[in-house]
Amino acid sequence: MKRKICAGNFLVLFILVSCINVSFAGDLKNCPEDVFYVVEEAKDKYFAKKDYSGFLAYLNKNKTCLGDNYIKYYTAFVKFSELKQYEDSQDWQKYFDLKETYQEIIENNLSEVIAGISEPITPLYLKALYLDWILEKQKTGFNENEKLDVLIDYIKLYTNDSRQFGILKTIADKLLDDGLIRQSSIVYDMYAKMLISNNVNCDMLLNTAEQAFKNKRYKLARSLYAAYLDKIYSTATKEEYLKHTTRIISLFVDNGWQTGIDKDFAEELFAQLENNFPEGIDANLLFMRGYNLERMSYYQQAVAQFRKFILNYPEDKRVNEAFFHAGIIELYLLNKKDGLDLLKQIIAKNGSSSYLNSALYYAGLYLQKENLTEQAKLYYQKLKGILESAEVIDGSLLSLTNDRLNEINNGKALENNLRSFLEAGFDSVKLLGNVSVAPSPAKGYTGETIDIASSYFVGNVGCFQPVLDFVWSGDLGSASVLNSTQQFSTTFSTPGPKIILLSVKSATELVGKHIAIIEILKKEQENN
Amino acid sequence: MQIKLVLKEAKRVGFLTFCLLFSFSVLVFAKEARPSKVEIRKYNDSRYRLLVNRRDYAIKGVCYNPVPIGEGYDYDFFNDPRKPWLVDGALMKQAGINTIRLYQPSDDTEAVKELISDLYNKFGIRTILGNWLGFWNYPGPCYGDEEFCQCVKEEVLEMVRTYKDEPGILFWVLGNENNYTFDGRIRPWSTEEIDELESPMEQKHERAKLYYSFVNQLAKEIKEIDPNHPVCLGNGELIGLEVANEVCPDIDMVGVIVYRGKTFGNMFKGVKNYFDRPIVFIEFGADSYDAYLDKEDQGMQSFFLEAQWVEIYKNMFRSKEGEGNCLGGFIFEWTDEWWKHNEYNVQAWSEHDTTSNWSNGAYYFDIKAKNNKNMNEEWFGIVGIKQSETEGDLDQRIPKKSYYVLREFWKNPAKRIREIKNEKKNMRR
Repeated sequence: MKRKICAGNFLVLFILVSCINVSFAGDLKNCPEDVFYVVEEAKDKYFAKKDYSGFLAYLNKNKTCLGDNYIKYYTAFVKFSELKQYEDSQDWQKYFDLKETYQEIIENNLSEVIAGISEPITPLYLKALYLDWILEKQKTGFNENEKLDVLIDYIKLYTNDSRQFGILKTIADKLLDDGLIRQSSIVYDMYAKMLISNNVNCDMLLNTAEQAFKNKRYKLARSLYAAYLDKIYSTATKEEYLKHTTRIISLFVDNGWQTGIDKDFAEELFAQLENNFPEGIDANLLFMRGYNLERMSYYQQAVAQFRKFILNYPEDKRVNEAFFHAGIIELYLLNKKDGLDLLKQIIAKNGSSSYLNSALYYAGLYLQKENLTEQAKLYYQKLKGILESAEVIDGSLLSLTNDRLNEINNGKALENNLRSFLEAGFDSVKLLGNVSVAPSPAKGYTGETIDIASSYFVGNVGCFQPVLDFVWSGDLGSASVLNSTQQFSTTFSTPGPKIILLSVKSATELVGKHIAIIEILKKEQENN
Repeated sequence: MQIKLVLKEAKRVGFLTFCLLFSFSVLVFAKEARPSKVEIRKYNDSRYRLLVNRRDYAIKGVCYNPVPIGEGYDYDFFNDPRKPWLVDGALMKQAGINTIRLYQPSDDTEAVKELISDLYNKFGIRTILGNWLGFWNYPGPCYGDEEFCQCVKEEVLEMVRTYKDEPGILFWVLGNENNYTFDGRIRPWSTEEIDELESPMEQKHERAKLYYSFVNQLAKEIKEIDPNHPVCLGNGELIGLEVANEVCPDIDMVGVIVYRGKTFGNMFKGVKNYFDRPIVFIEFGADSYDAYLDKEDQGMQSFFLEAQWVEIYKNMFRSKEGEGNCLGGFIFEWTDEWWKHNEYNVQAWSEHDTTSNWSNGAYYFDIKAKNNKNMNEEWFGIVGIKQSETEGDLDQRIPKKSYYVLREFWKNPAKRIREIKNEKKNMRR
C-alpha cells in the first residue's frame, strides 16, 4: 500500500512538474528557430516585474541553446537597463555606486558580441549594434554618430538574407521615438520592402498600412502606403491607381480643417501622379495641391498651382478662391505687384461673393499704401455699398472700410499697425529676423474658435531677448489684441476669407512679417 | 630642597611652554581672522595661477542665488531667517565646491557678512562679490553720464570698504554682461557725441571705450582701498575686449559669461590675443530640461557640464595641454530659480515653468524645440528644489545628476580626463 501511495505521489509530482515546465514561458529545450523572439518575449515578461536576476537565471538555464553571444548581449542589456532604472528614478547615489562596474561589463560584453558579428546577420546582432549606438549617443551627445551609420548598414545586409522582418519595425519604432525621423523612415521603408519581397499580398500590405495609420504610426504608414502604391502601379488599372493615390493623399494632406499629417508625403504623391498619370489630375487634386503647398509655406509653387487651376478650370466654383489666395500671397507675402492683377480679376467679374468683398478691400489697401488714393477710394466705396446693402452685414469688414475711407477723405496717414506691416513688405527695410503666423485650424465655421499663434527668430542675441511688439492688423475677428500678444484666440461672425497681418518690431528694427489666410464658412455650407 | 628646586624648574618650564602654545594659537587664530592674500602670478607664455595665501587655488564655483519657490527677483535671501546657506554650504562642501559668486550684496551689510563668514568658517567656501554697475537701474545705465557713474562708483567703493576684511572674500567682480549694451539693442544708452557718429561700428566702439574706462577707474580706486584682492572685469563672451585692452591696465582678470555648449572653442586663446589676463568663467552651464521632448533631462545637463569642466581643467596652469590661463569657473547655477521665465507674473513664481524664451544652437540636444527655443531659464540649477512638506521650512534640496557627476569629476579630474580620452580612442577603433 505504501509503495503504491509513493509511486502515485511520484507520478502526480512528475505530472505537476511537467505541467509547470510546459507552461513556463520561453523554455528553450527544443531550441526553436525563432529563438530570438522567444527570448525577447521572456525578457519583456521578466522586465515588466523588474526581475533582472530572474531573467539572467533564465538565460543561464538555457545557455546550451542560446550560446555565448546571447548571454553576453543580454547580460549587458540587463546592466544597462538597471542603470537606466536608477537614472529614471533619479536614485543618483545607487546609480553612481554601480556605474563604473556595470559600464565595464556592458562595454566588454558588447564589444565581444560585435567583434564576433558574421553573416548571416541575426536579429541579436542588430540589437547589439542598436545598444552600441545608444551608448555612443550617451558619450558623445550626438544622435547621429558613426555607430548609427553602422547599424543602418547592417540592417541593409540583414534584409538581403532574412525572412524575419519584425526586428526592423522594432528598431524603426525606437529610432522614431528617439527623434531620428530620417533614419526611422529609411528602416520603415526597408521593412515595407521586406514585406513585399516576402510576398505579402496587396490587401495585407494595405491593411498593415491602415493599422499603422490608425495607431498613429504615421512614418510607418507612409512607408507602407508608398510600398503599396508602388506595387499596384504595375498591376492595377490607371483608374484604380488614381483612386487609391487620391484617397491616400487625402489622409496626409493639409486641407485647412486639420493640419496635414504629412504634407511632404502628400506633395510627393501629387508629384508622382503628375509624372505617372497627368491626365488623371482633376480640379479637386489641382486645388488640393495648391492649398497644401500654401500650408507648407511653398508660396511660389502654391501660386503656380492656383494659376494652373484658374487656367484649366475657369468655371469651377472655387476659382475666386484660387484667384484670392494667389493674389494675396503674391501681393502681401511675395511682395509682387502681379498679385494686384489677380485681385482685380475677381473685382472685374462683379457678382456677389465674400472673395469679391475681400479682394476690394485688400486691393484698395495696397493702392492706398502706394498713394493711389483715388483708385483705392473707388474700391472702398464700392465695397461699402455692397456691405451696407447686404442681407447680413459684415460689420467688421465694413468698419475697416470706413476707417480707410476716413483716412483718405481727411488726408490722414494709414493706421499705424497696417502701415507697419506694409512697410515691412514693400519698402526696402532690412529685417532683423523672420516671423510666421499659424492659424489653427485654417478653416472653420462662424462662431467657432480659431487659435492664432506666431513665432519669430531674431538670430543670436544671447540670453537678452529684445523686447518685441507684435503688431497685428487685418481681420482680427472678435479678439482685441495688444501689441504684447504673441498668440490669441478669436471667432468670426460672418463667413468669407479673413486675412490676419502681423509685423514684429523691436525698439529699433523690424524683425519680420507674415500673414494668415483663414476660410470661414457658414455652418450649413458644404465643406469643399 | 632639591625637590623644591625641581618643582620650581618644572613650573617655570610649564609656564614657558604655556606661553609658547598660547602665542602660537593666537598667531594661528589671528591669521584666520585676517583677510586672505589673493594674488595672480603670471608665467611664461601668459600662463597664470591664482594663489590664496601663497597656495594654489583652482576655482570650483557656483553662482549662488537661492530664491525660494514662490518668491521672485527681488527676494533678499541674505535675510532669509532659514539661512539657506547653512544647508547649501554642507552640500557644496560634499561636492567639492570651494567658491560661490554673489552678483551683488544686499543693503543689509551684517546679513551679507554673516553669509560670507558662515560659508567660509563652517565649510571653507570663499566668495566673489560683484556689482551690476547700474545695469538694472531705472531708466537704464548711461556710462557717459557723470552723475550716474559717480553714483555707481560710490556704491562699488562702499562695498569694497565694507567687505574687504572678510577672510572669505576671494576677489571683486565689476559688471556682468554690460558690454551687450554697446550696440544699442539691450538697455540702450548713448551720449550726444556718440549719436553724432554716423557708423554704428564707431558708435559701438565709443560706448565700449567709455564703459571700460569707467571700469578701469573703479579698479584703480578699489586697489587704493584694498590691495589684497584682485579685480575682475565681468564680460559677455569676448565682445569688446579689444577695447578693454586699450583702457583697462588695472584690471587683473576677465570673468566671462559664456554659453557655448560642450566646448569653449577658442575662448582661451582668444582672451590671450585680445586681452592678456587670466580667464575665469563667472557664468556658464546648461539647463536640465529638454525643450524638444518636453521633459526633464538631467543627463543632458551633466553631459554638458562635465565636458565644460574638462576644458576648464585642460586650460589651467598645471595642465600641459591647454593655454594655462584659466583659473576655474562658476557654474550657473546652484539651485533652480522658479521665477525666471516670467518675472512679472507672481503666480508663476510657484510653478516650475518649462517654457523657454531663448535659443542657443550650441545646446543641440533640444534645439529642434518649437521656434528653436531651447534654453529653459528655470532649470539651470545643479540642485533642484521642492516645496517642503512643513509650511515655512526651507525648500528641499535635491541634487541633480550633474551634482554627482561633478563631485566624481572633482575628486580626480586628471583621472576622469584620461578615462574620457580612452573612451574616445576606443570609439575610433
